[in-house]
This record gives sequence, C-alpha cells and structure tokens, in this order.
Amino acid sequence: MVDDTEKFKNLSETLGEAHVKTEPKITAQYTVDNVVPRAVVFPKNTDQISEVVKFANRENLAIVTRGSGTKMAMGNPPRKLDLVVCTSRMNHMLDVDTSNLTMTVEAGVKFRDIQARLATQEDRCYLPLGDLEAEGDEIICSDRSHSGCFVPIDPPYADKATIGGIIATNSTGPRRLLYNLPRDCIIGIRVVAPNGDVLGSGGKTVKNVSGYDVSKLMVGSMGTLGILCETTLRMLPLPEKMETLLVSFANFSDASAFAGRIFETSLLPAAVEIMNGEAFGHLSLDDKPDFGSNGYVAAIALEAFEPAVDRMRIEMLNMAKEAGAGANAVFEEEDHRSFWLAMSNLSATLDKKFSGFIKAKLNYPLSMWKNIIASGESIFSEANLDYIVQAHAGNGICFTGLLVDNNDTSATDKAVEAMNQLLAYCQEVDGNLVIQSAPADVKSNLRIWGKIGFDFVVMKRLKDQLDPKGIMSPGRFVEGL
Amino acid sequence: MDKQKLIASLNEIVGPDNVLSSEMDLMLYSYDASLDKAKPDVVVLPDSTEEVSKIMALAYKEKIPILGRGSGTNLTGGTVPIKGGIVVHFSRMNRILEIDYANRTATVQPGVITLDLQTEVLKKGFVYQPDPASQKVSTIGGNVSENSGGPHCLKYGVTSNHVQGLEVVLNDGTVINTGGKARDNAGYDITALVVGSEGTVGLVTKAILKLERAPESVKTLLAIFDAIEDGANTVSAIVAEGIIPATLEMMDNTVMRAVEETIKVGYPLDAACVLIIELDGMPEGMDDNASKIVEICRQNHVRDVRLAKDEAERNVLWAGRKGAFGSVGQVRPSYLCCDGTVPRTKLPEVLNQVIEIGKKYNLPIGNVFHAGDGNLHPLIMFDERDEDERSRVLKASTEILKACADAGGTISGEHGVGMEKLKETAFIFNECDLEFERQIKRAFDPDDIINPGKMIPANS
Amino acid sequence: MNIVQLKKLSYDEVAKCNKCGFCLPSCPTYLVKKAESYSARGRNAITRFAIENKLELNEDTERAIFTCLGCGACTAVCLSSVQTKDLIFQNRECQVDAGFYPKVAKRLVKILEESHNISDEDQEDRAEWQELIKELPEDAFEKETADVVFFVGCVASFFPMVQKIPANMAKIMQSAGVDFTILGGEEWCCGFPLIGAGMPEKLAAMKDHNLKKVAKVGAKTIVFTCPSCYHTWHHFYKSDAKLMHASQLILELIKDKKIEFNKNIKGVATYHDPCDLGRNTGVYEEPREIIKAIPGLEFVELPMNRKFSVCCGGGGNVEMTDPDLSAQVAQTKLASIKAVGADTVLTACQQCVRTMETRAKRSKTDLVVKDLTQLVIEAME
Ligand SMILES: Cc1cc2nc3c(=O)[nH]c(=O)nc-3n(C[C@H](O)[C@H](O)[C@H](O)COP(=O)(O)OP(=O)(O)OC[C@H]3O[C@@H](n4cnc5c(N)ncnc54)[C@H](O)[C@@H]3O)c2cc1C
Ligand code: SF4
Ligand code: SF4
Repeated sequence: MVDDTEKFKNLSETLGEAHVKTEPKITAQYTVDNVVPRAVVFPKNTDQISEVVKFANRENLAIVTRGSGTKMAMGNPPRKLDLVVCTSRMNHMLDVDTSNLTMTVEAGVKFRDIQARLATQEDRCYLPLGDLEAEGDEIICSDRSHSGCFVPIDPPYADKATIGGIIATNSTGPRRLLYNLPRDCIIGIRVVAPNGDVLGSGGKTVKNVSGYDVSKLMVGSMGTLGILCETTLRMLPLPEKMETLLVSFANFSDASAFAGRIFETSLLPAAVEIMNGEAFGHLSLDDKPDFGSNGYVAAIALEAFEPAVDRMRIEMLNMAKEAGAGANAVFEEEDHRSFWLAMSNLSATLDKKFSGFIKAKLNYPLSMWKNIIASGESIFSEANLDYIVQAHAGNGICFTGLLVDNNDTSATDKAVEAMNQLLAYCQEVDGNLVIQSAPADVKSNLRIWGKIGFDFVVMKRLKDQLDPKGIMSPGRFVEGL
Repeated sequence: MDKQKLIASLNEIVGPDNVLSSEMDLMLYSYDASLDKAKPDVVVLPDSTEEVSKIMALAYKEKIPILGRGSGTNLTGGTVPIKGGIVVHFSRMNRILEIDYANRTATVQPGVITLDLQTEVLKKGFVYQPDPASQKVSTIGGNVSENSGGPHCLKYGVTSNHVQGLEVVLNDGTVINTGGKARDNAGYDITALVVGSEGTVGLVTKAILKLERAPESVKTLLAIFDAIEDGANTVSAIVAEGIIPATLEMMDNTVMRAVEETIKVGYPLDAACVLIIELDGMPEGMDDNASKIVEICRQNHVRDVRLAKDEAERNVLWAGRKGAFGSVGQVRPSYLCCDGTVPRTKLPEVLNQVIEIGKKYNLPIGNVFHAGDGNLHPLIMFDERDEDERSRVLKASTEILKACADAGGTISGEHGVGMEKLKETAFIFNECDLEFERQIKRAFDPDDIINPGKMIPANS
Repeated sequence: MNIVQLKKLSYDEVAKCNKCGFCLPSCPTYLVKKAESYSARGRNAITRFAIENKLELNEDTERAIFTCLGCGACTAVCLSSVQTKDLIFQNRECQVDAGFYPKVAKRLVKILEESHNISDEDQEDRAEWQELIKELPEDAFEKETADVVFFVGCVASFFPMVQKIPANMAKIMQSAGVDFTILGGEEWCCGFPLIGAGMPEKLAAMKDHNLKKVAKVGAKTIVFTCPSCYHTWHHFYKSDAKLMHASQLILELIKDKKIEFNKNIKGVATYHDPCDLGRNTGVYEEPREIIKAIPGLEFVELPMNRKFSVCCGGGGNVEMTDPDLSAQVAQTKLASIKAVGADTVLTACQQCVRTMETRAKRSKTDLVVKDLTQLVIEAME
C-alpha cells in the first residue's frame, strides 16, 4: 500500500493535521461500498472545503462527501475514491431568524439539532426530545430559540442524519403529504463547485427567481455537482395539536379503501401511511398496540389546529369502520412524535437485524398504488421472501424491504430477482424503483437507479460541463455519472 | 442564412400562414410588457412539438437566435429578441391535453392561459395554485419560464412547486421529458432547472402540472391602516407570530385610488394602505387564527378590519388587487415595476427607503405587493416619452433593487432578470456564481442561440 | 387625417397602453387568428409606431386595423381604460388618407352617397317589410305626425332574413296603442358604417337629413331596433327627442300593462348582449327583464355577459372586409352558447341575428336565433 501521508501533507497544513486521516485503521471506517478511501478529511468550514476541492482538482482525486453516514449505501459503488470529506465539524447554525421564519445552517448540522433549536420554552419540539440519543461525545443542541417552529422535512434517520445528507439524497418521509419535499423548503445554498469555487444561490427570501435555481438542482444530486456547505431553510410554526391514528385492517384491500376514502374529502392529514404487519411489527416503539402480524396497518398523522384534529379523528375513525377496520389506537403529542421517529428509523432497525437487507423506493403515478403494492406482494410471496411494505399514500411513493440474511445465498438471489421483477412492473406503469440500500456485493446484480428518463442527455451534459474532470462522487449516481 | 431562405424553410415546417415576416409583424413582436424593444427576423406560430423540434433544429444548424413567447406579458424583456432571429409564438399550442384527476395532474400545451386551466379544474373542485395577477392572460409556458408567483404562493409556493414534469425541445431539436406523473424521478431535477430559466435552456412544449383539492373554506379580511409603517409592521408581526395565511398582500393609497378609477371595489380612499389577508383550508380553527391576526393588527394601530361577507365581495377585493398594475395607467401612462424581495423582517425598513428614493427622484411610486413573501413591487409611474423622466426612473429602480439586496434580499422575486436587470445581478452574485450559471447555460446551449442576452450578464 | 393630426388626436390616449396584454384573451379576432396584429394591444402598437414614425401605414397595417370588430371588449378589461376602438377608428381615417383601406369601404361610401342605404337599393323599398304583416293597408305606418318615430335602419329594411324584426316591432307598438310612424323612403342610413370605414366626416349629410325629417314629424321619441343606429344617434347626432332602444320601449309597455303575455314559451334561452347596445351604450338590464317576464322560458347567462360580452362577429364592417374572420368569430360565439346548454339565443340586434343565424345554418349548429321582438310577439299571441 502506498503511503499517502506525504501526498496529503499540503492538506494537513490547511486543515490541521488532526483533521486529515490517512491511517488505514481510520480510513477503513469510511469505506463506500467496500472501497476504502486514501484519506478522510474533516474541514471546518466552507473555505476549507473549497481548499480541499481545489487540492483534489490539482491532484485529480475523487471525492465522496459524507454527513452522518446514514445513507452511504445509496448509489452505485464508486468508480474511484480517494477522499472522503466529512461534514461533521461543519455543525454551526449560522443564522436562526425565527421572525423571518428562516434559518441558515452548515451542512453538517444534524436534523435533530435543528428541530431542538426551534423548540418552545416548554421543550415542545417536532421530534420527541426525550427519545433522542447522542452518540459518543456529541451533545444534542440545548440552545432554544423558543420559537415553537420546525423545519417541515420528514426524513428517514431523523435523529442522526445531517441536513446536508438529507438534501443531497432528497430524503423524504410520510409527512411530505402535507409539507412537501426538501426541494420546496430550501431557499438558499452555498456550494463548493467541482472546480473549488464557492458559490451561492438564493438566500433568506422565500421567493427568488434571480438566475437558475441551483438550490433545487443540488437537491438529490448525491454530491455529484459540488459539495453542499450551507443551506437556508424555511420553517413553519409547530402545529397546535399533533396526533396519530393507528388502525388495523385484515388486508391491503381494506386498508387502501380507507386511504382512498380520505383522499375523497378535503381533510388535510399530514401523513397517510399504509404498511404491512411485518413493517409494523419491526417498529421499535414502546407500548406498541398488538395488531397481529398478518394484516395491514394505517397510520395517520394529524398535525393541525386542535378543532381540525378533533374533526379529522372522528371522521376518519368512522371511515375506517366503514372500510372494515379492526382495532385502533390514538397517540397524542409526545407519543405521536415517538411513533413517527420510530417510523423514520424503521430501515435502520431492519438494517441491524438483517445483514442482507435490501431496501427500495418505488415511485409511480398516484392512482397506481394499489396495483404496485399488489404486484409487490405477489412477487415477494411467490419467492417466499419476508418483506416490509410501507406506502406514503397520496404521494405515489412506497418503500419496500426484503428481510434476508446475507449468508443465505439462495434467499439473496431470490431477493435480487424479485427486485428486478418489481422494477420491470414499475416501469410498465411509468414509475421506477430505486435501490436505497443493499450489501455492496449484491449491488452489481441490481439496477440501482432503475429506469433513467429521456432527460438523461441533459444530466450528462450538465455533469460534463460542471465537473469535467469527474472528481465528484464518480460513478455513484444514475448511469454512473 | 439568407432571410428569404429562412422564411422558405419555416414555411415548409409550419405552412406560410403561420410564418410572419412583414415589417409590421416584426415590429409587433419587438416588445413585451417591459420597456425594452428589439425586432426579430421572423415569427413562427407552430402547432405541435414536432414542428417546434424542426424549427429548433433549423436554428441550431444555422446558428440563428431563437426564443419562445407566450402572451408577452413578462415585465423584464424576456421575449424581446435583442439578437434578432426567430420568435416562436405559442398561441396556437393552447390545448389542455389531459386532466387526470386520479393522478392529480393536468397536462397542457405551453400556450394554455393560466386562468383557463384554473377555471376548468375548479369545475371538479380542484385548483392549480399559482395565481399571478396576470393569470387571465399569461400562459403556462410563460409561468413556467419565469417561475411566476402570486398572492397564494405565500402558502402554496410558486410555479416551481407545482410543476411535475415538462416536455422540452433542446437546442438541437431533441425532445426530452423531465419528471412525469410519478414524483421523485431519479437523477438531477431538470424540471426545477427549466422552471425559472427564462426561456434560455430550451423551448417548453408540454407541462404536467400538479392539481390540489380546493380548500374547504376561505376567509378574506381587509385591514385598513392610516400609516404605511403600521401595515408593514403588521406583516412582519404576523409572520413572526408564526402565522402563514394563504395570502398577505399590501396596497397603498396611490394604487387604491388608481384601481378605484376602473374597478369599483370600495377601497377606503382616505387610508394609507390596506392588507388583504386570506385564510384557507379546513374551517376548524380558522376563526381563532383570524382573531389572532385581528389582534396583531390592533396592536399595530389598524383603523378597521373588514371581513368579506360572501364570494362576491371576496371576488371584487381580488379583482382590485389583480388589476392594480394596469390601473396605474390612470395616473401616468407608463410604469416600471421593481420586483425586489427582502426577508420579511426587513419590510418596514426597505419600504421606507423606497418612499425616500421616490422623493429623491421626484417620481410617484405606488406600492402593491406580496407582503407576506417580502416581495415588493414598487411601481414607478412616468411617461415613457419623456426622456429625462425615463432616465430618472431607471436610476431609481436600480437604487431600489440595491436597497433590497443590501437588506439581505434579492433583485427578483417572480418577474425574472430578463434584460432589464442584468446589470443589477452584480448586487447579489459574484463572478463565481455567474460562471456556474454560464456553465449551466453552456450545457444546454453551447452556441448561445436560445434567448441570448437574458438572465446572465455576459462575461466581463 | 394625416399622421400629424393623428398624433394630436391619439398620442396621449395610445400612450396609456402599457402593453400589459390583458386585452388579448378578450379580443375575438386575436382568439381566432392568434397573432399579435389581430389583437387590441397589437393594433394600439401600430397606431403608436405610426405616430412615432417607426412604421409606415401599408396593406399590412390596413389588414390589422380594418379587421377590428369595434366591439370594445378590449376596453372593458383594460385597467388603463385605453379607448382602443376609438383609436382604431381614428387610425382608419389615417389609413384612408394614405390610400390603404378596403375596396369594399370605398364602394360602400359611394353607395351611401348615391342611394342613402347600404344595400344600393331603391329607397322606396325601405318599407317593404310591411308586407310581412297580414292584412295591413299600404303605408299604414307612414304618418305625417306622431309621438314616436321608429327608425328602422338599413339592414332590417333590406335583408329578408331580418325584415321580421321591424314587422314584429311595429305589431307590438300597434297592439300597445303607441302613436308611431316610420320615415319610409325618407329614412337615410344613419351613417354608422362610415365611422367604421374611417370616413366620419361624410356622416354630416345623413345626420342633417335624418334630423330634419324627424323634426318635421314632431316626434318626442325615436325608437330603434338597431343598436348601431341607436348608438350613432346617441354619440354623433344632436337631437332633442328621447332616444330609446326597442327593448327599453317594450319593457315600459310591459310595465304599463299595455302588452300582456298569454303563451308559455318552452326551452332554455340565453341572451347575447349586442356590443353597441350593451357595452357601447350601456343597455344591459332591459332585455333581461323582458326575457324574465316571458312565462315558461328558462334563462341562463353566458359566462361572458353584459360588459364582457363577446362580439358575434358582425361588427366593424368586418363581415365585408374579412368574411372568413367574421364567420370564425361567430363560430366561437355559437360554441360558447351551446356550452351553457341553451337551445335558443336571444338578442336585440338584427346584425347579431343575421351573423349568428347564418353561421348556425352553415355549420349545422342546432340553435334557434331570435330577436327579442320575435320572442315578445310569440308570447303575446
Ligand atoms: C399587469 C401584470 C401583472 C403581472 N403580475 C404578475 C404576478 O403577480 N406574478 C408574476 O410572477 N408575474 C406577473 N407578471 C409578469 C408576467 O405576467 C409573468 O411573468 C407571466 O408568467 C408571463 O407569461 P407570458 O405567457 O406572458 O410569457 P411571456 O412574457 O411571453 O414569456 C416570458 C418568458 O418565458 C419564455 N417562454 C414563454 N413560453 C415559453 C416556452 N413555451 N418555452 C420556453 N420559453 C418560453 C419567454 O422566452 C420569456 O423569457 C405580471 C405582468 C403584468 C403585465
Ligand atoms: S389596451 Fe389596455 S389591456 Fe390592452 S395591452 Fe394596452 S393597457 Fe393592456
Ligand atoms: S374592439 Fe374588439 S376586435 Fe377591436 S381590438 Fe378591441 S376587442 Fe379586438
């Protein structure tokens, strides 16, 4: 193995020796799909990132950016990897302007800290503050703006993910039904471009059409067009009341009929999540009601004014009954928050339990959701696989995970085959299936990004133009961009 | 390419009836709602994506500048062909192709008039949210290209938040589809890049738009103030209180008077300004929220808060608001609208500066704007025919935009940069920012033939 | 008129057009042709460019300027209240001086000057429509003196399709006991077509003649079934007599119980506001009140009504200068009528009746077109 210490000396001078790691013992902890980087760097601000990228340009080094590492399993294995740039030290909230309902933070700030910062005097927060656990020597933000606001994003790994990672992967969750997507709440960014330039777009105004919308271009771009360093987000006041309705159904057909009824009204639930018993069973939550493991569970998030929540509860429980519901449960406030945190951590939980866990995100035109889930159910049960299904009803998004053990090669083969079949079905209905995580050695048998649209020509042109040397996350994104 | 040959080639593509090249026709496509003018070489009115693709391929082969035009109502010179060439007028491509309620989408051609689509879907209880004041005449193609906003964008977001997919003809005539009926497509968000690109990256030939269920109930308040500051402070206070109404619009005395000349709304003509505040959604809790707003208004010395008692009263309040720009023609023949936007907390301060700038240049300025978004629209009124006045107007406008930028804001909230504000981009962008944008532009259009000279200042 | 005079007359008004485009979707000719030169904004730009010497008047501007229907829909939606129709008619005067105007307009003037009617017919045949009324003694409606003069207008006098309008109006007045007369061969064209043709100065002779004849009869009231005659008298004549549109007189007669309705009329009807009656003169409600007084009839409004009514295609002499365009506008009108589910369209203008009925026949649209006078007679019988 080459000793890279000398090579990275320059960088050490800029960042400080402690923040440039080349020891194999450490770099091994930062592999991306089993590829070990030559160095891991920990810049402390945007200017330092700019220096790192300029250095990489000179030396022709391939960079992968990393936040908390919750979603490093996304994407194709890197074509080349030299530097992992960790944003963990970029954890400052630069401007929390609750009167303007905007905040500007560095990319390494954790989502949970943002929410904690916005909690009320009484510690009412969008996340269940009591359930949050810090790792190692970290602390959870204890500074309070007392504003009673929140940033309306509902990502997976809500207690660990950094805001940079959430944006770069366009992470969304069930409550996008009411609050929309990260792309809708980002109003400004500062980015280090592939050539090392620091550039900004947008700002603290909620509306802006001066120039191309670089902020939105960066959302979901997986770090292939630059490194997101700072972002300005808009926030909303915390809902007056938060409540969850859990309703069990004997099968998907009843559960989906229930969801269908809801969407015929003008009620405004924050989420209508339909999951199978398997998924519900794996939620790591205290005092989980026992709904049995065979049927389906509908979880409705209600976040609104108190009288509106009351009305929705009454009307929806009635609709549920008409749709043939079994048991139900209602979670209020902190229990509500704990429930949705557990939802956001479902894949993390399963990842730990099943070494060969394969998770996919499906998208399709809204009206196709019943067909998609029916088709998934039949493909998976035919292959005799254990699986979870979790549909964000009303959004045209569904997650599914195959619970396999990596050592069980026959199950793994069947899982791969099943995912490929489901992808084919999604394509048939103008949708797609994207693998969100899979063991590195299985990835080569999967089409990680699924079907690529006609606009790939433009994506390619953009990538070639903005990153001509191909140093930003080479190979990981669609069609190996 | 020789002009006659160009015309002959276009005749072949769209038929001679749809190629305009007389001196008169060229003059009539030399303007939009801004103050700029420049003549194209030829105007075409295509009827299909295939025709647009062929026109584009021709422009590409011959390196002829080309730009798309909807209703020509943009306020920044977006459809002014400063390098000549071909203007593609989308007036014939005005079909609503499909309204798919099950998937909550509408697929339309670019020439569809915004309000026509809205009227159509409302029949089934659905809405397409973006509501620029020009919705009666503006086209979806124009809205998409300018990323237009309107009063209700405070709560629901601008055009960009409501476009799910596009069909775009690229520089060489290739037709691509971005996004689609399914959300979250893999890859870069090309849709988001095309929206707001001011027609500089390609020609949009189809749009898939998001529909939502119309809100169950609506409450519209008119708050009347005796001082502008009080109105502005109220806006900041409402937002700071964490209330995001559906709309929060401000209109000052000058504009109210002008509006009242044409539309009899019954605005209080002795007041300094009014706020039009609308709440929508489920009715539960709405009264409480309205009382909170009224309380904030009181704390800020409101004279009176009136509630629109029925749909008719609400409509007339909005007709006045939406007619505001045009009505300033009752005061002076021309106006320039500065679209500067500021963080909402800076509203009172910047509004004061605007008034001072008006005084300094001795120009009447009317204010009617999306206050809740911090999106100002000072309307500087003048007579275009008066050279001296015109030059003062341009100076005042630049100064206003500078004030917005200095307050942490930007030079355009919804009308775009166009050619009118190229110089002012320097207030918010540095050379790196601009270079990145140029790279994006080059990725789409390396020969700089698509709406050249707009949005990004040339390399200095 | 030359450019210098045009500048004096029109520059300030046309400068008020700030090119906002709000008039585009209201301009019927733009909706059909979809090119800027056929829009109000485009036509104003032509006037402005011409005044500023940036554009010469020629055949192209002739086509743009002479295809305006004069319907005024643009001004109804214009927030600067730009008087586009008037500006266009002023521009037409300039076009005429520059020699760029439709040949039919030239012919029309000649005919008017020689025959005093637009059809180049014998003036003596003006009252031919009386033959439609059974058992009527010849010249029954031509008196020496009367309280009311019924000014029939050229179109209703000479076009067989609409001669029933004056016949019905006469019957109504007769049965209500109104003391009225017609001018017969002494009625001259009111001169309205000359305004549209860009030659308003030629109107004087006709005005003088008509005023003199009315004075001789000693009438205190003049009633018109033609909105354009009515509009012309209103805006260009100076008469001491009270001017009334037929719908206004009929409504008065209904209110005074001078006429009564005995018959139920079936069906769903809508009402088309003639531009010159509604928007251009301000009569919106009387026709609607009459319709509502008719027993049995179901009434629906068009989405664009009253001030925002869309022209039938028959205005501004366009029927002569560009018949295809006129027909296409009419077709759009018919579609909007069918869209509200009406089987009958009522109006109060012989030109609108003619345009819509002709179009409905040609396009085999299943629609009944009726003037109000006909409806009233039917309900009276
Ligand atoms: C009185 C008035 C009020 C207004 N109010 C508002 C408001 O409240 N909010 C707001 O946001 N704007 C407002 N505007 C500005 C303007 O109406 C909007 O920008 C509108 O979206 C423009 O639509 P249009 O069809 O007229 O587009 P155009 O002006 O014709 O074109 C605008 C831009 O889009 C491009 N373009 C058009 N069609 C295509 C296509 N198919 N493919 C590619 N490029 C295309 C053009 O090249 C140009 O750059 C107002 C304007 C006026 C005059
Ligand atoms: S005529 Fe009126 S509505 Fe039409 S463009 Fe001019 S100002 Fe606007
Ligand atoms: S008068 Fe009628 S036809 Fe003429 S420009 Fe105005 S709207 Fe168009």
